[in-house]
Amino acid sequence: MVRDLFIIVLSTILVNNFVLSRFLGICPFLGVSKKLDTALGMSGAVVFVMTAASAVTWLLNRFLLVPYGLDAYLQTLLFILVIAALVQFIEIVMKKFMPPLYNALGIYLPLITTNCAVLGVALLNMDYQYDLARSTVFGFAGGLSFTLALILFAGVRERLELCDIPDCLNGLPITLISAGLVSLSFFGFQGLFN
Amino acid sequence: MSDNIMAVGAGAGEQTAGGGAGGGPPWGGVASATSAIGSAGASRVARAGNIAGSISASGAGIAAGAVASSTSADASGAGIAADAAGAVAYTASAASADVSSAASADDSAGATGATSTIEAARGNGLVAVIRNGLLDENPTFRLILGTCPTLAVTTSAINGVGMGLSAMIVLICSNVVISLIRKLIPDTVRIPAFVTVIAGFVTIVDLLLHAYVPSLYSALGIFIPLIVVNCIILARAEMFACKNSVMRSAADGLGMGLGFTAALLLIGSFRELLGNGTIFGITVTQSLFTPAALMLLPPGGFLAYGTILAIINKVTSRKTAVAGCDGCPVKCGLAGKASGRTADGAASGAQ
Repeated sequence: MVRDLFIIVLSTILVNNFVLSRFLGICPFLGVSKKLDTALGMSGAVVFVMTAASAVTWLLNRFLLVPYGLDAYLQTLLFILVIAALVQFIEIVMKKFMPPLYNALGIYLPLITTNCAVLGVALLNMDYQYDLARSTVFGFAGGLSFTLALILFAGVRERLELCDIPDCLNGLPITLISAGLVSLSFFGFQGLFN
Repeated sequence: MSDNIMAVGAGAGEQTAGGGAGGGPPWGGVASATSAIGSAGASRVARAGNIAGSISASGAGIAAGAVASSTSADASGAGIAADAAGAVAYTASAASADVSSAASADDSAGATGATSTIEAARGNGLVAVIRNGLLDENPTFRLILGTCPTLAVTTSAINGVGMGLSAMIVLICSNVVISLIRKLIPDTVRIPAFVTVIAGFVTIVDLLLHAYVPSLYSALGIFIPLIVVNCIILARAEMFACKNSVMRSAADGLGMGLGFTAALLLIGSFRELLGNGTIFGITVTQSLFTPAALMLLPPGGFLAYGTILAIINKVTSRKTAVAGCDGCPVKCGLAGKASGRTADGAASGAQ
């Protein structure tokens, strides 16, 4: 069991990185990775939300959707509404009980609702038919993979600022090409787990 | 509107575009409301940005075309704002430390200014709306929205077209429904209401694809239900459908959907051609060069998107948004500018 969880964590972070291999969470990845401190803030918030969302959506699916046979119809709708509500709830709780954490992460929380990664991990849990422990750990590992990709890329982009880039490539094109190279470097981890 | 003026002083790019509009009291009321997801600030900025665009368009006179007006916007942000009420805001943003956020404010203002220019020049016809979504505000290459499916499903041209058409159907249907009920939705629960409508249509499309086109369903995988968080659909609902009539919203959905599909077709064909030597499954260049399978893999997605974006920028001589969320008109909470946060929070934001 522990070995399975360990494999889930490592393979998600390295081999099937949420951002660089699965293409979930690209919009904030491109938007927030300009500076390292904002990347760290966003990553923390994403880890938090993805773990909580994985657990809550799994429980809701198991105890609300499946018993009434609704999971074919209402899964997408319920998951996204739950994620939106959860994000709002986390923001309120954080603001009230953890003000330093809220000051560091709180401004990124509303953005995470439309982050493909959160809804993506909830749906992937259903696809892979994980139990609660694996789901939660998968959500946590997904958040960590997002963190790794974001921090690495923030470093790359801070260097890119100092480069002399042609006009047509400036901005998003060179960012995307750099992201492609970072994604290529992660390809070395393929085959780490068989 | 004092909080907008504070934001101008803070020099935050997106807030500045909103503050510079000098938008009327109706948007001030929206600004003070708290929505469930905290996107009220985003919509205020987005709507004010539209006003900024129309002010600058009327102030600068009707330009010869989209390219001309946006290149003039690129040349100097202060130029386009010189005649507009937003002059203070744009010069403040130009003077701020973060050059790129100022550039994105100029870009987004240039984009909306160009749109309003086109609409003013051609009249507010449905064809203009469709053309806007297809060319001037192409969601993939201009607004940089919906990048997740763009990168993930364009491993072949047919997958790209399939995803584009699915998203277009959802977009048109949700735009129509949201436009129909726009006067009934309370402002505070606006975003959850939109999400509910969109999720309903995504479920319908998901089930239909599963039943009638199972090959496409298995090819697109989890990206079909992920259409519900596709920024394009939520952004158009926020920016257009809740403020326009049903016909115009449907036309906008059609235009944006066609633009998205065309972009996915382009990127998908590019990747499939270079990665497999085929287009739509028809072998084209197998003998000319050995295909690079890299293009079908995740790195190839990034490389293809970036290269095509660079080519389009070069051909049209126009900059797009600096990064994904900078150019997003929804501004759904990025960089602490949502839910009416103070200027301090905005100043320390992401960009």
